[in-house]
Amino acid sequence: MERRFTGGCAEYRCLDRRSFLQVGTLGALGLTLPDYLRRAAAAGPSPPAKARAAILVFLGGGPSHHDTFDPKPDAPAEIRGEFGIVQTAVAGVRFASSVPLLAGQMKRLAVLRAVTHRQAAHEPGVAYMTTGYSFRPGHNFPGLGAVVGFEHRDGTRAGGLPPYVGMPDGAGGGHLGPSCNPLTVPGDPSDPKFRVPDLALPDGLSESRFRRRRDLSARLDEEFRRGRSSEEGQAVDRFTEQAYGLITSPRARAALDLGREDAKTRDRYGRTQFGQRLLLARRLVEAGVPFVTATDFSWDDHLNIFPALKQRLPVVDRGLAALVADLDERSLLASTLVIVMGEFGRTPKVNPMRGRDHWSEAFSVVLAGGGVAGGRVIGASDKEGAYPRERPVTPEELLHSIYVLLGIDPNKSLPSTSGREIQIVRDGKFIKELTA
Amino acid sequence: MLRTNLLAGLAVAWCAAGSAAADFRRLSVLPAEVNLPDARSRQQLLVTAHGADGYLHDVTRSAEFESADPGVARVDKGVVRPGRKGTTLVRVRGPGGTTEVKVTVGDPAAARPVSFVNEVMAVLGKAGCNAGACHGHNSGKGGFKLSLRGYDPLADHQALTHPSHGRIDLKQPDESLILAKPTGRVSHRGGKRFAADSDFHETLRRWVAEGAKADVGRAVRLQRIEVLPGRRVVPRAGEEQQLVVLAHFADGSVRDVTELAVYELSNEGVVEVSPHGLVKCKREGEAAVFVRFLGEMGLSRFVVIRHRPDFKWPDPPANNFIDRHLHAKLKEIQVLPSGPCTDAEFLRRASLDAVGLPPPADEVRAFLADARPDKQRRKIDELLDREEFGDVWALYWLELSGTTESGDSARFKGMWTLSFWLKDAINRNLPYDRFVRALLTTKGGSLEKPAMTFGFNRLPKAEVVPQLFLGVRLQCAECHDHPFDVWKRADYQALGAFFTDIRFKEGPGDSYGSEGRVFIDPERLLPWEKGKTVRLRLPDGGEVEVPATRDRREVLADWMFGPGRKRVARALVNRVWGRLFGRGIVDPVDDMRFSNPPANESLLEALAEDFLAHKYDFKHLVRTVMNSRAYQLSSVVNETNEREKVNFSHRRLRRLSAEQLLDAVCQATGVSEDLKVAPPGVRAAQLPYAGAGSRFLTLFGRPAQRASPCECIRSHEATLPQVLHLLNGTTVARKLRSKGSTLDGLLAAKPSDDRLVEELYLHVLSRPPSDRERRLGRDYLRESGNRGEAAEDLMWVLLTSQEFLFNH
Amino acid sequence: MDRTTRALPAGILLLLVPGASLPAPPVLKTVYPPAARRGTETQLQLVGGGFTRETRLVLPFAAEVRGGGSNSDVAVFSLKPAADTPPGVYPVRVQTAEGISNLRLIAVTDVPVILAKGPNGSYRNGRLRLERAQRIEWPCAIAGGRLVPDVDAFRFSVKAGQRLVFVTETWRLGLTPDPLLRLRDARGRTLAYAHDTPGLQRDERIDYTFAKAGEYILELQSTGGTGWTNHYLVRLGEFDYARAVFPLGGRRGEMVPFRVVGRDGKTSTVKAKVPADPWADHWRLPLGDHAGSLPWLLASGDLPEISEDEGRDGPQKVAWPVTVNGRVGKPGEEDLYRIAVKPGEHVRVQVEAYFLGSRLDGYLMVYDPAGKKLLAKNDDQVYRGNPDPALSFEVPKGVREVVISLRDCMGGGGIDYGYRLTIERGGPDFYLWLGKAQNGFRINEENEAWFRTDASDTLNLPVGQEVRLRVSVRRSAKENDPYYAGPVQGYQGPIRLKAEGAPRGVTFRPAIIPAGKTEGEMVCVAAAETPKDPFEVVIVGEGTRDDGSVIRRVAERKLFLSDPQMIHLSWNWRMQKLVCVTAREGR
Repeated sequence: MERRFTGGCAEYRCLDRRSFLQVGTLGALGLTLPDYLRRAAAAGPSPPAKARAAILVFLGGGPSHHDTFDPKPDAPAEIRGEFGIVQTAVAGVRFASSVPLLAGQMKRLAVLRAVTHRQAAHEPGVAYMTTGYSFRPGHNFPGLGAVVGFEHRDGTRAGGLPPYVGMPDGAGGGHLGPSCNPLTVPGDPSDPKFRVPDLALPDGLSESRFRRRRDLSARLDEEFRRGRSSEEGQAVDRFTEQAYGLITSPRARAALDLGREDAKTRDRYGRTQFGQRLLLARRLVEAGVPFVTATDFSWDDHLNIFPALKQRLPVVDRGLAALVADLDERSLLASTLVIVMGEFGRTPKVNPMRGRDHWSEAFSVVLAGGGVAGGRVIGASDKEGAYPRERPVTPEELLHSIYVLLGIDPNKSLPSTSGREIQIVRDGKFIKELTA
Repeated sequence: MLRTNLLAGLAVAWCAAGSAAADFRRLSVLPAEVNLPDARSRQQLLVTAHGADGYLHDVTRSAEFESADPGVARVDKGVVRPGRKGTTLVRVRGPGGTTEVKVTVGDPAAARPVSFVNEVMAVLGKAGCNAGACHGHNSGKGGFKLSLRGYDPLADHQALTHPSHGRIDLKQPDESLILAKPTGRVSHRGGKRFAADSDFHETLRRWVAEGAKADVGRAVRLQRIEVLPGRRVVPRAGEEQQLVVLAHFADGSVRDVTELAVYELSNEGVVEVSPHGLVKCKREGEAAVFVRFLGEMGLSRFVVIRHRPDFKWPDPPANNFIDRHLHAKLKEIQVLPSGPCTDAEFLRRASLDAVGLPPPADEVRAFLADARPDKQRRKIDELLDREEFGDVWALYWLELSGTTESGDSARFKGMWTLSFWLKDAINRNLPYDRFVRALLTTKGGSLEKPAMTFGFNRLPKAEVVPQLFLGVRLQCAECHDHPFDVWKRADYQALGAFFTDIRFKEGPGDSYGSEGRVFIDPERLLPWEKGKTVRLRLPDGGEVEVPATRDRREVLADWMFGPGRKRVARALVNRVWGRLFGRGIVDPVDDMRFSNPPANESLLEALAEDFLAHKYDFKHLVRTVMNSRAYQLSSVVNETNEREKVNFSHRRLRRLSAEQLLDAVCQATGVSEDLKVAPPGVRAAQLPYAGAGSRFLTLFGRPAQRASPCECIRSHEATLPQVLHLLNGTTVARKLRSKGSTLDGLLAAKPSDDRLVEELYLHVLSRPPSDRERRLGRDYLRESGNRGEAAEDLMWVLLTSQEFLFNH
Repeated sequence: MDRTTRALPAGILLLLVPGASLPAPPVLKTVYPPAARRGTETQLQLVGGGFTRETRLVLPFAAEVRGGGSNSDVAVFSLKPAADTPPGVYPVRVQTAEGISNLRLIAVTDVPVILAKGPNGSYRNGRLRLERAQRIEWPCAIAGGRLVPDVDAFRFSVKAGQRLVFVTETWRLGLTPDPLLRLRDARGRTLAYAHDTPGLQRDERIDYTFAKAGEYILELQSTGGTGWTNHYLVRLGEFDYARAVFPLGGRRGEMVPFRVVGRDGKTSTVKAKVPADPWADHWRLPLGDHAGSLPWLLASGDLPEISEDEGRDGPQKVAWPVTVNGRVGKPGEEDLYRIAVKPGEHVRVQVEAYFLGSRLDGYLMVYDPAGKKLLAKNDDQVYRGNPDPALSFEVPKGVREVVISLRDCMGGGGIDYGYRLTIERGGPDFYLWLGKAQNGFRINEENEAWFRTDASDTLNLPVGQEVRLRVSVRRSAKENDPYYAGPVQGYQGPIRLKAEGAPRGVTFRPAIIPAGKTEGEMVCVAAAETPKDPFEVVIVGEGTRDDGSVIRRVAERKLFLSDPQMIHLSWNWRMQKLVCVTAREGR
């Protein structure tokens, strides 16, 4: 997982790829009487699913909501920050001047401005926002993509492509097991030399010979498996199947080949790592992959936030605006849910080092497509952007809604590797404002 | 949902009791005698039916209770409450018979003021007010902050009673916010926490009415809590067990705090526990219910099995004491261990574990031909004597050391010398106590004293010492008492005091890095202070007075290795066990929490005792474990043990580590990997660096940064890119075809098809093929038009097989 | 060594030296082997640029030299150092009509120089292939090359009880590899290893007594280093070597008995006269009987020198300014010196130890007479990582006496913990060097090229043509320089620049670095009658403090032979003199 360390806090620096895959091992929440009672609450009815796929753009580290989707132009300077405001395409909705292109796409976006939780540290925050579960000791819950991938484990839709791709990484399979981890696509797709590694057959190996090898392998390895069963072995089996699918499917290889995209489209997304990852995500979704995560872990701006955002936000603005518009032009937006979020937002007050620190009490998440009605703002933060003023949304509600939009019943239980069935999301409710 | 659960539970209990009534021999009740000193006393009774099957069954919810004098004591669903002063009997009837309990009621009229420390704090804890997500958050919630899980009652009293918070209304106690908010009368972001007619409400109300006084330091001290039952073997999933929690106070009084205690689970899935202490057994397995009350902790352990009346323990032979401890447990849980592994499996397993590589073909042939009955033992001795044994364990410690060739914290030289020092110490079998002392207390420069390099990054953080050497994760205790363990914040601070005057600096350097230097603050002692002594608090509470000139780290080491201290030994034997079995007796291996008990306490203790008796002899420990029958079991499971995962009833499959796999591919193919930072032919396992080397290593889970002193930074999980790379990447493909490869050599000798298949199996899988495999391989070679290509295909198939990928 | 060093493809060289064909002063990149035995002829291969048919070697010792004429980038000389050349390390340069090159170092030995022959070392499945080790006879010095990332192995025999010393002279010769030295038995088991031995800074030494007769293996594995100077030299034999020399310097022009402590603590005395040269701060003392050592670097000073009174109890009273030659003789010992001071006076205290091969990592403290700490300083006199401390302070009101304390910060002490402690008048000061004001001690693209190839310590003066010489000044600590952590110097006034030692016909125009500025420029011109032989010039800067006292500082030229971060290591060459020649008339 690439990450810039310019302003990250110490705890964050220690968060490596592994811990991202295994979110949920730290800390613990005691099970108290009211918690237990609250779990009795059931979820309401849900609308029919429109989304066939989702692209999760995870801005890890925690992007500032003040300086993007929830500007506070009337607040004092130490809260307002250095960006002005920009009118969006929807009357009365304003963004920070840092994201003008996205403002132009507002008719396609739904902005949740009062997402709230209380895990203002990276690891618990990432866990909560990507799994819908707060920490439990000794337990790893599966990430969004892993659950979607699990539901599509028959792989029929993606024609050789795995059901879950992470660029460069994505939340892991948790208790669903390692076989639900994403296909990770490392590297910078804007690099002319970029290739998804290990896809093409080695020189001199024909496809027919590769098939012969595979047949022989199936017959010979069988003896070892007899009488032995393990999660690890099953994961290898499943990945092997996926790998054969990928290697032998021209369609899959084509989807991963950005070189087939015309130059204009590539420019439109921006010839940046971020922009090209989004473009690759679109290609994958187009090819039938049901869940793609594009992560960018550079948003932990404890110091000098404004110069940093002035560099990064134009890249994100351009890439995301292009993604939403491009999906729509290709008639894919209606069936593709785009989710833009971080683990939390950042403190209303700019700190003495000109940075903003972690803030999870109220922050913004942006959704588009996949049946979400555009042009609306759901919920509001108070005048300092500190606490929800109206319509707070919990991670449980958010994830519940995402699953519903994707046609997955969040109340359903999935088998964990420990043998127990565990509900996809507990305590969630569909956010009606998304579709109503 | 709660209701239905309870109803369902009740139904199960009734059924069990009803259908098998004839099979119960006896009924017993705990506690044997009930004392209710005042009006707020209560006692949950625990009714146990003794089954003919030899198991104990909780029948508390199906039993019938009757008080001989309801005026003295009432009983409702097994809970006894006081009436007036006096004594009486409670009769209990249930499956298996009847029995009775004597109840003594003190004077309910005698006023006992509500204790803030023992009662109010308990309510705040149980209601979740001081949980991390609520007011226990380090910045509080809604402008009101409590200490996390109540570790600081004094501060909490101040917070509750401070006039500016307005939580307390002494004039109109019922209007106090601490009553209005949690009952939902006044808006509360935390929601409704308890009802206005509950005991919780009454406790808080009375406390306010009595003046909201603090009795911190004066309240009768809670000495310990007792959880009943402490352990249960449950013959089948679906059964339930009520817990009873008794608080023992310093004045000899005992109170039932079942409703006030907080319950957690050591692991998910096996059992569930309700806030009232009712445990429901969900499926076979083991779990501990962790009980917390006012900073004291208790455990109740559940072993849920599938009782087979016809189960016969076959009494397999034991190689040493390890097997005796494991067998006792397996017998109890009615699980049959797998049979012994084959000789070839043993050799490959032992080689991978001891020297990091599968055995080469010649060694396999020789071992299989060896007819001596003790050849396993001899092979273990031989492997432990190889220099590569040091490579394996040096890498293990390097990974925990935090030393990295780049990055902010480690811009210093000495990676190679540290790895050499570690190898040398392991190979010379430096006793583990001296090994730890060296890592812990060395001062000086990293180049001259490589052991110091280990501490250069790590030791400033007091919590690293317990995690590495005591198997305890103490991070939580930096800010508050550990919520799941016995460690207090004061212990953390005590530990920190051993390192306060240790200083680090970057010594001379060059483009390849700098020397690191560790020293004791020279200004700690001015020349005229030489005779001074200091008192140091030891992490477990004792105190010691030492000369101020002494390196305090040595004092810490003295404590760790002092007579009667076993923590270091227990932690290390568990680490070694984890390494050799793929799972610790306590797992994760460095999380020896109170609330995470070992799968087999007597085994862990016996191993530690043996290790101590042999004066921290590391090779003896490894040798003892590898010589056990348990280590030499097959990975093929039987019907009884296929889902058993924690009692070492069969060999657990483990993917080869990144280094093992790369080195194994190199050895099998005869072609080395370009590791860039080391000469060709050096094994990946010999690299001291974290990030350098080959992409293969990162792909297969080698940590790119040694960011934490935790084994968990290494990933053993399989991923799609790994499989893709194995099947289709350059590593295997290139090595297969390189000039001078194993395959080249084999083909040049023009062996028969039969021989060729056998050689390939020996070189890659370290065993001869079975008849069927031999036939399939031969046919494949014969049917192909191109023998070279066919042999390459066969070798590829073996190199990408699960059998090769796993240590089995 | 699997790859051979000697066949360097010329094509690559041409690519790396752009404009090599234009007339320009020569550049010297490497000399291989980096050693020659005295009295014996050795073929030297020089790689560089700007060589002509008239190329000649410039050596500081008597030698017979043949060959060398070349128009390519490789020149081959046959060198036979005079039989009485003291063994040691010497600079080598080449000169053509266009000027003189930078220096490279060469060792003159009194043992045979053996070339490593490949392939002599390789691994298989993590084990050294012992059968490939190159057989050698000792005593000898082995020269090898291209160690990255490779391994060289040598096989030798010993009798039972023999004690051998293995010592690398690699970075002390300005070479880049950072080898790991390892001794194995005939089965391949590691017996001993060394990497950056204390006292040798970047080089390593193993001193091993063989209990059993038989064959053993010496292995060198590189842990880093690349480029043109990727060679090594390792010496082995039954040598003694010096663990310490005491004192670590003397006053200019004085005769000093130096006690040399051998490897087993045996002491011998070498009398030597400290060079009177006012412009050289350091010099090297040859240690004839200690063949395992290179000549010892020593300091020269101008102040009166005294020795520590090792038998005293309590602080030693000293008159200052002074340089005290002392030693932290026992682990944990604290050496105390009492000086009389006046309130308001500036005192500067400086330790030289690590730089002179001592193991002391000094920690300086200043107490007032009541025992109250006034000041403490651990490290970082000039550059990060230099453990020699220095501090300056203003005497507080009412204080008439202070105690200066020095100890080893790691609590060490012993025979090899010597130091020079200089107590002198403090006050505003500055530091001068030749070159750009921008910090030149970090590797970046620009100065990578500069330190490897530029004739950085030379000044070639085309006759009749003005040459500009940049002089930079550091006036206070941490001026945009992360590597500088020295005491605040703080002199802000103008600095007058002049040259010392220029022969007749060469003019250096005096110049001034204006107050507050950090850079100045001197202009120099050589007339036609200037002598053709190399000569040395020193650039001096003078500033005047408010009280009228004058500060004189020599502009240094840092010469990064192999690594620009190693300036504080004594065996890197810190030049105070500029080597100049006149060259063919300017065009």
